[in-house]
Amino acid sequence: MAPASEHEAAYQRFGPALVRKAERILRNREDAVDVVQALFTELIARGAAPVDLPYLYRAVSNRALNVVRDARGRARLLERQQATLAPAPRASGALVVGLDLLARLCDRLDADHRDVLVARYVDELTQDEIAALYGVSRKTVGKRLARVDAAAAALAAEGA
Amino acid sequence: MSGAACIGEPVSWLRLERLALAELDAATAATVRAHLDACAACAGAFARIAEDARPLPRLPAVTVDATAPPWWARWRVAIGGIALAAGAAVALVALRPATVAPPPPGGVRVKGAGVVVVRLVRERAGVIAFDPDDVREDDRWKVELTCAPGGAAWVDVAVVQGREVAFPLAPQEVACGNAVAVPGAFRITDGAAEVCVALGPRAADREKLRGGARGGVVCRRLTASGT
Ligand SMILES: [Zn+2]
Repeated sequence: MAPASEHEAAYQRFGPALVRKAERILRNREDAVDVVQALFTELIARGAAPVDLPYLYRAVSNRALNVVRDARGRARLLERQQATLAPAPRASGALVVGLDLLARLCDRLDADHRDVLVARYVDELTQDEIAALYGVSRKTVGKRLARVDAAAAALAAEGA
Repeated sequence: MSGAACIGEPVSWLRLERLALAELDAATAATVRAHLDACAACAGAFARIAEDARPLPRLPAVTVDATAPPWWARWRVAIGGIALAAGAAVALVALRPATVAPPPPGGVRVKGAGVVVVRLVRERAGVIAFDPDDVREDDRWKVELTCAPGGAAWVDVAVVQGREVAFPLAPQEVACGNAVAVPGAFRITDGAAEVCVALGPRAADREKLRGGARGGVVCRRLTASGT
């Protein structure tokens, strides 16, 4: 069982990066810190060894999306959101995934596609990086991304 | 600082964070640095990381009591609509010709999720406790589920105090995993309570839960804390 001090060290080392990541999804610091602390609390309780940043990135995505998917969590996020915590995408023409769009896309996508949505449009990972992070082929990533884009386009068309 | 577009493919936030943590191998780090020298958009993103001096709140202390009996010995388990002490439940199952392997005490077998195990999490003044025995008004409570990835279960939480039954969270479907937190937290006011977690392949019928139905439900009694 890994001692808590190792987790403390991992929290100090990776915590700021993970909070920034959670903020890009949740758009407020309080909920972002909650998500990251809950993750480390669980790792300590399970006696799981502290892990690397890519693993923690996946875990934070998962937990932050659970907050977005929960109706009460979603309402709270929309109330608290601060746009400055999520910078504009750097790729020209990239899908801009605000909290509202993220929430609505989450309702239409399964877990695998939600992961790709966040990895590509919130964390701006390349398709190769997404493939490596989730242990799937580049082709699979491409297919999932196409499905995400189609869902976003369908939402935009409905809104128009 | 918004609106700047990358000159090529943006350097991902993960890669920028790993650069800041000096985790990238030398060749990758050199490639990324060359991009940052040429790209104002990505250099701006990296500056956000490098200049983020906001202090990180302390991690809440976690108490894991190694001497305490296993959690399932302290949860009351409901089987066949009758709430039983865990020991009695084991005896009942042992006497019955087994058609389906019984769930472990405290676990509930849910169609589409297999055995789902419940854990109650209390945060009190920054200290986390799992499956505690007492409650105070300022405690913050969450429920965690463990079940095999790939499955999903509907969860509803009922707080029973005498004849009062409250439902602090919306019923929701939760994807299985290891200690998955059910979204949402709640508080319990007015002292002693029994927290019951209903699990099933669809949302529980709250009227039946109010009426005392306990099939597919695990409950935990909490005494009022002295302080
Ligand atoms: Zn760039």
